[in-house]
Amino acid sequence: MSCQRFEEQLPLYLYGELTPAEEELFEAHGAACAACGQALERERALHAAMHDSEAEVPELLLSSCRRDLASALQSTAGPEARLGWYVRWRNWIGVAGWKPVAALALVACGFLAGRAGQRPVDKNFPAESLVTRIRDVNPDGEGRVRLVLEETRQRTLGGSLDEEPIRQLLLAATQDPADAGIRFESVDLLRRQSSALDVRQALMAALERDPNPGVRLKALEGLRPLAGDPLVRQLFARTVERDDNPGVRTQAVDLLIQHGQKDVVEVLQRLLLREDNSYIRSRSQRALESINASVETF
Amino acid sequence: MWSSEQTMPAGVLKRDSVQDEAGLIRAAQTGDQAAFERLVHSYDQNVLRLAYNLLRSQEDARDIYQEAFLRVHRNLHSFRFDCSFHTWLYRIVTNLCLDHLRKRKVRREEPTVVETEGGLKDRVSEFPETRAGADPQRHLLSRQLQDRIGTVLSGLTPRERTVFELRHQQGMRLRAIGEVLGTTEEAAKNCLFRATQKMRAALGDFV
Repeated sequence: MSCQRFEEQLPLYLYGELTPAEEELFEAHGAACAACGQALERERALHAAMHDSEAEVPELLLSSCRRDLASALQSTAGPEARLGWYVRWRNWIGVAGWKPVAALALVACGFLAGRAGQRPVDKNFPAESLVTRIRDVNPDGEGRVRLVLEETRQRTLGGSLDEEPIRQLLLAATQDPADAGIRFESVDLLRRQSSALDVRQALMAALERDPNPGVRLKALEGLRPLAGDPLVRQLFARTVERDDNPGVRTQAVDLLIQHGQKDVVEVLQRLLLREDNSYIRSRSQRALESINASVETF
Repeated sequence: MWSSEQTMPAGVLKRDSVQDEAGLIRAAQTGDQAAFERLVHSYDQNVLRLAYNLLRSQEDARDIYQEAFLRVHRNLHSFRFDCSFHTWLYRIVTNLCLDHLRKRKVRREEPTVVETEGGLKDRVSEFPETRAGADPQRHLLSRQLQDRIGTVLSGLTPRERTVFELRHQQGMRLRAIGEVLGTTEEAAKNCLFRATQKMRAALGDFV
């Protein structure tokens, strides 16, 4: 292999795009030719530098994109799709096989809505609408038709976040299994009351279990003032190690480090070993170095 | 986290979930919005990452995201499984990004990397630059190097830039990149080669 051919194949080698035979020839030349061996090392360093140059997508951009898309789809959809919450709910139940939980959620929402309804929060704002779905159409052959409708009555409530019925409904909404947008908005509203025990528990549950990263990020924001609390810190540590979203992990590691580092040395060391995200690795490394903890003993 | 029964993991679907994916696509084709939502959530993180890295602008990335998935929604009924959904989706996304980059190129400045008699030259490199500290491990890159890489990336042609992002940051094989861009593996390889050559010319002495 010539040195020129070696240079041409440098990037392909580092990207794993050479055939095994080409790779063998390439490596043999690299080992025999000092100049090409050095060129390979330089290219490797360049490759790593370029890898680290990847821009981190700003937190919450994904969730806001998802919300915008949902709104755009909703506004372009036909009447059937606009009435589609029932279909979505039914399909979700069908796919997930979560009937008991969904039934419980429905009962809980009904109960809470009922409770709120007994004590109207704002009498000037009782709006009702009827969502109708046509379940059957039967012409009788004489110019008349028999329609079977499915009706769901909606009620609109308004009030301050401090009012208990509103708060309870928002807490229930943080667990809405069907709509990430509802969970996101509810967590966003509740996070300002994170000092209340039930809100704190709801935020912790959202961070640990919500499938949507936007909701988890919001929950993290809400827990920020409690970042010194041992239970919350344990949750942050689990999040850093287990969450599948790099944005959430990044936020969690920042909060862990900003509020003390000694109790999370082991977590940071494990991150250096396992974490794929370069920012989190470098952040962990800096934190360990700043308290003179080893970055190599695991 | 909730169990996998309740939600699809973020990121590109794995091979063993291809059947699930086909089921989701078919359900979405019949108008099942929940299936469409799950399909979107399987890919949208990577789509947004690609758009954001290519365009380096939140607003532009947001526009690409929205337009791409609206197109998918509008045209999903015509998807016939002739190629993978991933390829089909990325074709839409990369076409949108390429259009955007080309328009930007027309509107904006000349590339900073220019061809001279002496080879490729980055005009930015003529400015004084302090080398990174003598950290032998070089785990942390200096801010200046990051800036320089950003400058060099913006000097690549839209096609080189896209191939580079798809290969380097998204980890796609050159064959798949060729399929997405409607070209051959060889052409994608040449594009990648030119992109890395320019990067090397501008940054080679820096790392």
